[in-house]
Amino acid sequence: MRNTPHPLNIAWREDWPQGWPHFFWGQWLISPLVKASKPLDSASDSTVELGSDSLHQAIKSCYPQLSFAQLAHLYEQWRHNPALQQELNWQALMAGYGFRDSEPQRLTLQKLIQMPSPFQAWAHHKALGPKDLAILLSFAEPNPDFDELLEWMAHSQTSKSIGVQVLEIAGELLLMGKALPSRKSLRPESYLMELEGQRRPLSRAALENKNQELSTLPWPARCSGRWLRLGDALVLETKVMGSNFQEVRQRLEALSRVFLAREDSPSQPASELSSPSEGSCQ
Amino acid sequence: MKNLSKQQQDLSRLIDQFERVSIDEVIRKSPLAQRLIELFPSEKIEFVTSRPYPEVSGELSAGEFARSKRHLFLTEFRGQFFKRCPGAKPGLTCCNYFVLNWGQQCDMNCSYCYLQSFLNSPVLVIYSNLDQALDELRLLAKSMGHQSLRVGTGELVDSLSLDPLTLFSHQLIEFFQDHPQWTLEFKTKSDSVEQFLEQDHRGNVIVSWSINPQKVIEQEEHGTASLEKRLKAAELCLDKGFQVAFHMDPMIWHEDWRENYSALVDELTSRFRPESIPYLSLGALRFQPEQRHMMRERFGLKSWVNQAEMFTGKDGKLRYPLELRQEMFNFVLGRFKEHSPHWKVFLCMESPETWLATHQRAPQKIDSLAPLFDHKVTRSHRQSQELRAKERAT
Repeated sequence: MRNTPHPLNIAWREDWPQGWPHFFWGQWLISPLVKASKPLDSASDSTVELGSDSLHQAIKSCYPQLSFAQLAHLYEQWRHNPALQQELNWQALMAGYGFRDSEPQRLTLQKLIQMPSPFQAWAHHKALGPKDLAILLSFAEPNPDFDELLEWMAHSQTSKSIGVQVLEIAGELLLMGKALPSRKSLRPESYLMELEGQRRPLSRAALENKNQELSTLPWPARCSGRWLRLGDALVLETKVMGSNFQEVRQRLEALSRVFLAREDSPSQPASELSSPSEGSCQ
Repeated sequence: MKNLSKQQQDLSRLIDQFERVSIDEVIRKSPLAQRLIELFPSEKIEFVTSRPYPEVSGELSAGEFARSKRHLFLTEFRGQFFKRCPGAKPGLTCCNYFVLNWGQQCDMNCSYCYLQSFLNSPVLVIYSNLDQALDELRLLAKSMGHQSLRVGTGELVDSLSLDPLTLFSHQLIEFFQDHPQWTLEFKTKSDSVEQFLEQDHRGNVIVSWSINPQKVIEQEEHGTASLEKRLKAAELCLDKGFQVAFHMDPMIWHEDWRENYSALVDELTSRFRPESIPYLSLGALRFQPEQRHMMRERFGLKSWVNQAEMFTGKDGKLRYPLELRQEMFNFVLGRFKEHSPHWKVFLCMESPETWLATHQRAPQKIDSLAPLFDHKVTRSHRQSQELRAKERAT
């Protein structure tokens, strides 16, 4: 029985079942130090010596899945503990969890551990990977506004896909020296739209102008349209409603006349109208 | 520095720039290795049996990428040197272009450089066995020798910035003397041309410059030659009978883009005649989505490239909004036309929609550009490759 176990820092695994034994590999305690809120009692708790060939295999057999955020905690311990470095092959451990060890990945692990704890927990529960967290590497110094945002994201139960976009766009705005828009009473989805507008102000203005212009067209009854951005292109979405084929056809004809008149209109922006003349400069 | 020739200045800059030169033992006796051993101080040279930094694999960090530009590794290439330009993909309208890669990584430092998402070598690599590449070309000449083919060397390296060290231009120009129906294209942002200016050639060598307004160069194209130096080098090449072309690519949107690109067109048109420039390509900023992380980390959000409002294009790359690209292309085309209708301008790596919006026709239908987009050539290359593969298989 060991008197001074060396526990590995596996975060968010504190609910180790009461009846389970503690798992060791050499001096390293792989299961959590705390069992259902009861500290390890080396005298009475049963322990199991794992027979794996290496520590990384022992960890993997105990924890078939570890998130990138959990690995960040373990990495923090590993890089400050020469004895652990000697026994744990970090590259092999990462490979076991589907990550290819590299310097950018190690730097991301280090950055993640410096972020507010609620955000780390959120990153763990949402299984964020190194690419999702790449924005963290662009911050050379801690940024209180960014930290506040991260805490808000964690507390707002933001979904992974929305959260990853918020992270990147808000991070870029802060790095551009801009203030983040207020989050008061906004849901993450709405906040993302707000951020997108601020990150791409020219494109948003261009879209608003086009829609403003569209609203001035003499739309036939029960016809409507709006400009949308689809990838890098603007597309015009048009709705035509009718209670029978003839009605739809009539409205389409009316709509066609409106569009034809619009195409001939001299108020079109130059970028749409300019047509290079014939010649070799084509 | 003042008394040194331009070529000596270039050499001196490169010798200072590289902190370490690792030479693969296997090619220690190659002419290029011998040249580098002579040029570099012995304390910078080491002989190795494998690539430096063997522990580095996969994606590079920003720091590793920056370091790779200062560490030269001379080795031999084991593989096929010659391949088709990556622009030739479904969804893009691309010119016929073949690439010959004699190395990888660039000693210059453009914020938008696509090598940031493309390379994972922790060192700048130069291959010593250019002879083998020329053998591949000789073989290709057997099946395609009668066709006009463009071969470029500026895909994974700048064609000329390292040339004062390697002098590869000498071998390449000499080879193309025997293949006058083919065209060799050097593509550069440097002004290193003196080392080949006196070389005999058959007029089938194009030296092309990627150009941008000086303000964009200062802001985004770090370690490259100034616009003035690039244009002066282009004039020197023209004087010696080399063909000269320009790539206004990538055009980068910024607040004064109209004024700056207009001034660039004025400068070009005042110094060059359209008849002496076989083509001029236009392209707008574009990059792979995953590249944005390293760009942001390395150049910050003050960079116009990182501030750009980008959207995912049909090919998956991040691009300016289509309407903005069309506006930029139309603007520059219009400026060229104001000077002369004879400038031969085409779009690089753009969608058919953009071609139609700016030129109103696909490039194959435009008389002056049709030869560049003659896909019979690439089809023939593909067929000959398939034939060779079949022969090997049997």
